[in-house]
Amino acid sequence: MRRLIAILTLACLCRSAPAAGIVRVVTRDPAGTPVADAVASLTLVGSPEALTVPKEPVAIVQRDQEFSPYVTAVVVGTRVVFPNRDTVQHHVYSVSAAKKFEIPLYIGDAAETIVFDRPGVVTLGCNIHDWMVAYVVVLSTPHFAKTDSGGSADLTSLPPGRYRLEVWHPRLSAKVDRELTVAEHDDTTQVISVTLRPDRRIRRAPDAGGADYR
Amino acid sequence: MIRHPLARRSTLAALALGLLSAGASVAADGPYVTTVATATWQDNITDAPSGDGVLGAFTLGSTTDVSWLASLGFSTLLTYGVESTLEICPRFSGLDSFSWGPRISWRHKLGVGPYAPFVTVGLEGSAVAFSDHERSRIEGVFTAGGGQRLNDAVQLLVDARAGTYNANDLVYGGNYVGANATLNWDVSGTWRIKLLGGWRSGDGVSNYAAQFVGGAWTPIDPGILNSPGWWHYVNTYNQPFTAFRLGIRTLSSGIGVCPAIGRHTSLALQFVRLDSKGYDRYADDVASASIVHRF
Ligand SMILES: [Cu+2]
Repeated sequence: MRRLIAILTLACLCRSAPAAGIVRVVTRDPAGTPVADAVASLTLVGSPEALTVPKEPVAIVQRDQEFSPYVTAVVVGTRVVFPNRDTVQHHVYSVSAAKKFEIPLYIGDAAETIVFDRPGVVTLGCNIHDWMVAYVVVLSTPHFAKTDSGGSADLTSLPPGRYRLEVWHPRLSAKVDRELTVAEHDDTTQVISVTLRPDRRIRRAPDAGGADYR
Repeated sequence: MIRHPLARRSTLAALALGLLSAGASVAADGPYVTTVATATWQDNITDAPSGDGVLGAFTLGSTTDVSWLASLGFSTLLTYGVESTLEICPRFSGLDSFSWGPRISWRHKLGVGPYAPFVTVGLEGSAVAFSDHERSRIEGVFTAGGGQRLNDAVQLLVDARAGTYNANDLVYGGNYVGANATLNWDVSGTWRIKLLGGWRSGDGVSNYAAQFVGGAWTPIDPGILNSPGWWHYVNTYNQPFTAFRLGIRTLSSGIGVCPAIGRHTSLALQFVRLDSKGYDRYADDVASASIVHRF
């Protein structure tokens, strides 16, 4: 009898929470080279999903006068800390519309935690070291992942439904936005061809003269 | 004709004290070490007018800068440290020199982000010992400058300098003011093209080839003797010269390429033409190759 109840319960559970799907997004440039640091996100069309904000803040570290990681994807409401692991002070700022802030010169753990409370892309900089740059992609969907060095990002635990797939990268030349349907037990791969602009960053290497600073 | 530089030096000392006391109370980052090794060819190292006495020479130099940073406020930094330079001139060993001196500069960024302009004010002091003892000197320079990035590839830097120096021999002392502008254009992640322009006005030394006449060394071109100021015979250049301290105005223009070799190292190749007018007009073409490494 107990066994029968257990089987019936399991059957009910399966009906109320259909099996999740997986979408693997693979980004490549036109030459077929994998594109790392792209953020792939899936947003359920029509019905907004509840977001779970991580309890612990996400860390974007400053080390060897660079931000790490270069690209961070978070859900709206995530707290981010900026520990400085250098022996030189940094002055972290953003002038992006999605989050404007400044943490004036500090070393070690900054007292301030920044809450990214609006969706959008936030460009981070250091007001002392102009070459330092990083991006925070703030999303209003729980389904996102960043591509690895192989250009691959796995979006798992997807309830069946119709989704809008978006891909963002700091050097993306044209918006990537398409719709797809995820069915129960789906395990599909979306290969996205992206065209990237040249990697133009403010030069870090020293110069023989001029008002150079570090 | 030439003012004694003591008054100007006391002003520089007061400014240095002011800047140092501003930085004394804040914690500093560092030391940061930058080294530069340079090979330079000058086609008129004697700064001689065309005709007799134009001599070219290579110099090899090595500069080490050790500095500390202190933040004075939101976007304000104080940089201070010591720079030393060793220069060797294989052809004219009298020009071999070693210099050592402190420097301090205050830098403020007017706003936030890479496109905000910045301004700097600084002081540099140095003691320079030459193989030719009469050239050895102490020097103080007041600097002011600024920079503005026009986009992610182009940056304009300007600086103005006022300096005073006292040498063992009056011929090698003097005062000057100058201004320089540099346009850096990063055509790619590796390659930088530089356009350079400058102006300098003040004391300088021009060397005139000499001959032994009537028991004394005199310039072959006697017209220079009409110019006021100090002069005397020099044997730095392995042949007879007379060195004249003159009021000289120099315009410089140049071009350079500065490829990056990684994050911390660059090569810099530069060509600068210096057009000067003292008693006569003369030019000096300066070509240099440097390796810069920031540790
Ligand atoms: Cu920094």
